[in-house]
Amino acid sequence: MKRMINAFSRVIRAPALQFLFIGGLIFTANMWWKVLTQDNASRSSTEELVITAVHIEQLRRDWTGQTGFPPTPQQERALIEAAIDQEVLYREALALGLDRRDIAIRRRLIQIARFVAEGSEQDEEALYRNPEQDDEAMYQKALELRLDRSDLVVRRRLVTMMGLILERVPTEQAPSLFTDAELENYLKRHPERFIEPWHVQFTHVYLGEDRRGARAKEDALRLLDKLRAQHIKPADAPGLGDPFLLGYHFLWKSRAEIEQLLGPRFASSITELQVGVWLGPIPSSYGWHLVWVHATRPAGMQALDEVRNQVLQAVLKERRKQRLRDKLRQLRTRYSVRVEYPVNSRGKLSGRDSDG
Amino acid sequence: MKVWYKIVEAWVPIILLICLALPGVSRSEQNLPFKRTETREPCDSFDPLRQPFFGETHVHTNFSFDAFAFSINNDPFDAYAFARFQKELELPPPIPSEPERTARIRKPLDFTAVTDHAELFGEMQICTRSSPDTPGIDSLECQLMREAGLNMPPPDPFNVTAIWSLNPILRNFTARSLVMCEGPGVDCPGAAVSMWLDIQDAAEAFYDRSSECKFTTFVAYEYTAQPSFDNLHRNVIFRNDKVPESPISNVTTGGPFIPVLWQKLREECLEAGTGCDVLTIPHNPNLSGSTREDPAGRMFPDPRSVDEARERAFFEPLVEIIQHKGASECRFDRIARMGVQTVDELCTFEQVLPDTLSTTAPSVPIDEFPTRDMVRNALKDGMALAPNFDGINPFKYGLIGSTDDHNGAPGSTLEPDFQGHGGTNDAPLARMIDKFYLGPGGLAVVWAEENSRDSIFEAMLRKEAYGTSGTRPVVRFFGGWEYDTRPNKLCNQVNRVEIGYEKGVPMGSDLPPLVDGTNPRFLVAAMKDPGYPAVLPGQEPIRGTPLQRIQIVKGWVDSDGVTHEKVVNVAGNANNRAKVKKKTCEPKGAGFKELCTVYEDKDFDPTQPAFYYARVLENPTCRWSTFACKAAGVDPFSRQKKCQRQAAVANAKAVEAGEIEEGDTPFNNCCLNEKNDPFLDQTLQERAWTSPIWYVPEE
Repeated sequence: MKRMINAFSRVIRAPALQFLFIGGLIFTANMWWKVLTQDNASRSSTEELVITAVHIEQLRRDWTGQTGFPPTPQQERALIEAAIDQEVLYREALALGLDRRDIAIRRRLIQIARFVAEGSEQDEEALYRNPEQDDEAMYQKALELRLDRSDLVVRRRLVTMMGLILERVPTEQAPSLFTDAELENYLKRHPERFIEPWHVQFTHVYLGEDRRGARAKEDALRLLDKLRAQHIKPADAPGLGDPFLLGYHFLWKSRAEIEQLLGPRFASSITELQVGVWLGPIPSSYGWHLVWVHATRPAGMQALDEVRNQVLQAVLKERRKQRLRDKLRQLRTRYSVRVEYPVNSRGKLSGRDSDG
Repeated sequence: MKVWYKIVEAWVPIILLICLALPGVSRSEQNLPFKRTETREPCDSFDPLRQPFFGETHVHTNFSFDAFAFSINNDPFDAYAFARFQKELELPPPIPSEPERTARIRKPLDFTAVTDHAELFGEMQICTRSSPDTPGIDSLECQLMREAGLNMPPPDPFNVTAIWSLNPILRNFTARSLVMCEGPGVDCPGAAVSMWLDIQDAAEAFYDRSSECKFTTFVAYEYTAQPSFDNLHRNVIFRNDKVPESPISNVTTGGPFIPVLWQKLREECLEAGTGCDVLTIPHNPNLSGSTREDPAGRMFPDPRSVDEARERAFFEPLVEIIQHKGASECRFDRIARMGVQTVDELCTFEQVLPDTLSTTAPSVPIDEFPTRDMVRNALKDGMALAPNFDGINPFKYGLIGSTDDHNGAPGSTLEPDFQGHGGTNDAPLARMIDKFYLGPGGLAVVWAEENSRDSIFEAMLRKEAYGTSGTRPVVRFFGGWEYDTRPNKLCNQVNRVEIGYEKGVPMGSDLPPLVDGTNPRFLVAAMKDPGYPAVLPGQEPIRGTPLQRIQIVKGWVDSDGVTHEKVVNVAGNANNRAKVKKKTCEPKGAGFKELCTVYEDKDFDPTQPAFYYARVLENPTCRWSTFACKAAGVDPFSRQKKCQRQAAVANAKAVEAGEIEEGDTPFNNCCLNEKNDPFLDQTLQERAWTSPIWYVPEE
């Protein structure tokens, strides 16, 4: 017994063991500290989220395929951000078990599993099995094969569903959700969307290019001089030019409408014209025109009451987008994101811009 | 004299009282050339000589069972916003794992009528727009429809539409709602009214009743009679917001009985005393097939009675001469070198192979094609039939175009932008190319004083309308006995349109009474489409195509009751050899910005009933299929061997991507051209058809 205690105390006095013991204490203390201070929410782990080089190459290829040009560094950064967002939504959807509860996903997995099972001998038996049992068997097989994780259609559906859940602002309450002040504020921030455009009333004299060929513009200039010199009134003027199927007097048309009827060159010129004089020649898709503007109505903001519905829809949409953005930012903190930029043939990181 | 004064004295106050008693008629509204049947501000932009308004009278949204099944999410509100405000809409992606496509119209429309399939309003409301505790929502039909709409196969949306249309639409002698409607507590009729009210709300929300008159909507729906896949559909368009409580559908009429539709519309609209007014517009006579009783064609059968002839003439002033599922003017097979009662080689235009709506129907040989399934022949036959029906011409149709779009995207008619009209049924590209013979369709254009419901509706009633194959040329057509036929006379007069109205009649009317010893003269003038800006990223502006020529088509009946036709070029240049650049599809060659002429029919015989209409042709431009094939790497302009090689590659790629089945070869269609196909070509000549002007000999 005494010999054993002696041996024991000698061992304990060994520095290596002492160091091990102290190290162990520190290690345990650290763990407890982490557990004590850890937020409940993040206990589910800061998962790693990696955007691989292969993925980035795929994003580049898709972009080039769609637009005809490779993405600029800025565009690529946006693509990568979008890819990270999608992955976050996908994983959150899985965490909520959305894939287990969705009938569309279930049917899709059954279909894929059936396709995979096709051709195997077990197929013969399928003819005699109860279809519902068969469906369930197929579904389980799909899960077994982890088809729910690999199928792009399922993935896209989960991303969409999760996005909708996060951004949801209940529409039934929509009209009461926003005060008039909030709607007015939106109007003020986005005047260009609700502006009542500029309108004009004018008479014109037309000189057709088909009819007159190269002389058309000359004829127009000469006629303009005559109209001015003889102070010819707008009502009497069109008869001095050529016939025009859309008429000679345009009553309160906006610039967009004029462009739709007479082409872009005429529309861009007419906005600059003064009232009450003969001006021109202005070109259109058909020939040359001499124009007398009778009056204009300036662009103005529409009153909230006239556009209430549209503003409401717009504010709702804005609110949803904001909610989704905020929620995504919040969710991202649960992940440690790593982006692996592809290395090009010269061993340099390709596509990464200077400020990372 | 004194007596006269006394009479005036007596009557003036009475007349004044009557004037004061007229309700809601402002002073300036008293002399309107049309009747105002609703309350609204008069339009700033009013022209007694009338203006052209471009519109759509046939478009479906996700309120329609087939559009919903093909994963369309756009409702009537979206459709009107698309047409009026050029709102961007989403279309389902080619494959579910890809992002949605976007659609945007390049120029707004002036008017639109959303026309969803009324037969299934109740079922659609219950299945897709009701709260989860609604009786019927868990029925098999509802489950199928909701799942089809998700764009996650199975089920195949095509099968779902087949199941949904069998009882309400496809049967020959009857029609029933879906079985789910018989379930306990299931209220299909009530649900249908609910959907119908939403349709009216959408129309009201986008109808501009202010003096700006920017846009007109019409409350409307489609009557979908389709016995054994023969097309007897009609679009039912109401004049104002006074409409029946529930739409009269193929189910309401107990089957495909068009005269019953008209009779019920009379009872529930015209005679309801509410100010309701309505017209019906048939479409796709080219797909109406034929029966033993009506071998000439099912859309325009010999009327069974004078009443039926009268009702048809009353309710149906217009027909769609072109839309997504083909053109119905006339038909010519250039391989067989034969036409359906015609030798007009321009009638190869946008022809579809079968003569019914069934997608598995075989193509019909040209000599077996039902003659009246082409409108020009029906117009001729109508005049021949009139003596048997108290002088009523049962087929006196004006002509318009439309799309029959099922994406909620009205007026989507431009060839370079075409993305299909049927949601997932037309995506991916391989599936759209498979339906090679279909196209974007055209537009309805009316000449009306102002952009309001009454003005436009009356323009439709008097047939002062024309159809285009998708572009927007401006076309005028007048007929009379006194127009100056000296070259460059009337056409050079600045007030030629005024003279047109004064000394004759516009398109759609009957010629004024015959002036003995003269031939009828026709003033026709056209301006090209001015072109379109780009409105989506990646688009280029589209330049307006120059005009090539104007033709006049005459049909007449001789003393033996035999019908004839002839087509003459009256303006422009048929031989301008304009074409397109094969690499870029850019049009090249001379053409006209505008054309005008006065044509005199020197072969006129005053004993023979006749009609005349104008057809305006643009220079050739590429067809949608050429753009689509090129995008898929198949060049329709290349030599056959090369084209077929490219097609094989494209087919293989599509099979690999799972877009089509092994053995399908849709891209082979890209190699069809005038040498090996009876109708189609890499290019087409967009055109306009005016409503006819009729000559009716006096008794």
